[in-house]
Amino acid sequence: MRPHALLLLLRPSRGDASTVALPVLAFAIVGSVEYLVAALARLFWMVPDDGFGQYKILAIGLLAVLVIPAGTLGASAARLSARRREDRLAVLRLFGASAAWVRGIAVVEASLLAAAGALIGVIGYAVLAPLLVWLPVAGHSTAFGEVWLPAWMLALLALALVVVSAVSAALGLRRVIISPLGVRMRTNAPRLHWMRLVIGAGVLAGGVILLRFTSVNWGAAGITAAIVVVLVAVMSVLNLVGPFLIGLFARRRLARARTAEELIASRGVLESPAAAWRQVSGVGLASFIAVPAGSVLGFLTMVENGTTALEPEQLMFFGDVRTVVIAAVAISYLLVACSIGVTQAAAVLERRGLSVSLDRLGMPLRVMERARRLAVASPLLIAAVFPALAATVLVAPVVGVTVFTAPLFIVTVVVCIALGVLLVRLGVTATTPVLRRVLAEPDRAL
Amino acid sequence: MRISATGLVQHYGATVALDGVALTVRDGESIAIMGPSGSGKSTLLHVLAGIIRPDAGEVLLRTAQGMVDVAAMADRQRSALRLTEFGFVFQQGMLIPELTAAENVAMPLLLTGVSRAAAGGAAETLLTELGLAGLGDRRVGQLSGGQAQRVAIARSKATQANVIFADEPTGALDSRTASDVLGVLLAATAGQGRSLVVVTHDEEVAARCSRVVRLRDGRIDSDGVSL
Repeated sequence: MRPHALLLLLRPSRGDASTVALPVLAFAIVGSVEYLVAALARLFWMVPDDGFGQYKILAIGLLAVLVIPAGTLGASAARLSARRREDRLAVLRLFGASAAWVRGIAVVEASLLAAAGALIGVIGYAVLAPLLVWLPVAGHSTAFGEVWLPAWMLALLALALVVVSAVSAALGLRRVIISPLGVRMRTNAPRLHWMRLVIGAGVLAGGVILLRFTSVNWGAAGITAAIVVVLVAVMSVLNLVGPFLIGLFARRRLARARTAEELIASRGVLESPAAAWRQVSGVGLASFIAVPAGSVLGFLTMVENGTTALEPEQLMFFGDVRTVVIAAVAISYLLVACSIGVTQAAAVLERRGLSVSLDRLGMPLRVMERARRLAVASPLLIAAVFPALAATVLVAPVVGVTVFTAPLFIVTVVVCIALGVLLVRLGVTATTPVLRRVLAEPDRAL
Repeated sequence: MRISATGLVQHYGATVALDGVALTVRDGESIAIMGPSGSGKSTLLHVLAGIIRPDAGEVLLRTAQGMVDVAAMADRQRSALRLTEFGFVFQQGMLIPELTAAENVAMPLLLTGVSRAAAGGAAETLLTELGLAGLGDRRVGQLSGGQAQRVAIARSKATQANVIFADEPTGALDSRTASDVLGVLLAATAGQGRSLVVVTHDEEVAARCSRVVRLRDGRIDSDGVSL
């Protein structure tokens, strides 16, 4: 394979504009959010600490809570950029291109798109960062100069985004590299191993045990490390267990399918439970964050309204904790909204051949839309409920207390989950024009 | 007469794909549409089948409810028409890759409201008729090119469609399999009193059809009985 072949493959072709724009837009949003969260965390990090490092714990906690949702959206965007080339790369493999070449092309392309997105993200950050001035930290208002990250930190964060996308693109193309014929002919319907469930249960149990043993004696660094490890580990295994559960439910649904749309929806999900999970994983992560966030807010309200008089410093710290929790939930939902937009549009584009086939067969658009909604419905339910349950197990003592003392917390959690569900439904509806466009130009889709 | 198309005009930007084409399709007739690449063959097939609406002209179709103008119908009505009146067999079969062979055949029946059990039974019968007994559970990618085309033919028969449109149905097959598939396609359509409109580059395919229409630059160059 010669270098000019690589250049030919990297050149966007006619009709590719949307598949280039989508990942770049997603990377730009992830970039902006990443820089904003880092700026907020830095504000907390710089608070002079006279306690046990509680502000540094807050800063790291904020980063830990959002690193996985941001990484997931980044990975979705990278996979989208890789998947749009999947067929062409598979053909290349059939012609004898080495696995290293195929991986190289995917990684280079995803990295370029991520770098473009990361650069555009700086503009988003520059526009939004001044809003942080309105946020009081440790009782003080924030100065305009404090909201700006140093250039080296911005560069480092942009590099992290590029690395995440490169790794995701390489992993996303594993099927092409292992089985070029499998992708070309679409013969493989993957079955996910039940070991995913065992690993998930093991990590969750480990997290519960670690948090039970965590105490003030561990110091700021020890507590921070424990919280970060548990949060990141459990959020990571959500991506492992989620697809397995989705596959399991889809097989049961397939057996009961009675209509064309139910059949297509179930088969579509079974074709790639991991892809189905990616469409709703944002809701899963937001739902996971909503439970501890809601219980912490409830807990704070309970303590503030309690009989014990609080020191002004304690009240101020509680206010800051509330700020971080609300920021984490708000930003996670911003990422959810973006991820839904990207994944739904990507799903339509990736399955354009199927849509055209169904259209020619005479399937009305409204039935296709119903099939799309059904294909998202079960994964959405799993993504909304299962991570919330996992989070409840993880922070059971706090949840147990707040359920009785601050029942408003339950309302917060339910509202958060309902919002996620609504966002996905809106995402499906909002991408109907993309489907209409695909059907209006069927020849291009084939 | 099953279809009567007159004055069909279709532009793609500055390119004229169809330039005043007129064509009639009778019951039980098999028509091969031939011509060089870019002559408008596939566009004509898409217009006749209601996949695209022409810029001008009409496509009258005789249905059980009387004559309808396909070219004047709304998108939703054309979808319904494709489901009940037309069948399709394309080069890659246009089968749905994630469904099994039987589910692909059953799909048009499910779309018309037939229960899954009944549609599945009918699909198995059709697959058996076409020599694919026992292959109903295989996914499309697990079938050979010839088998996939037989599945597409079975699917086109499922709703008892009156007109079958085929676009290079044997284009991706070796000559023996192509001949075999064409035989099955003709037997399942014209052989049963239904009309077949097939776009092809292959003179051997054209020779086995009852009529050959040749297009050039969006116009009919010749229209006659196959020799």
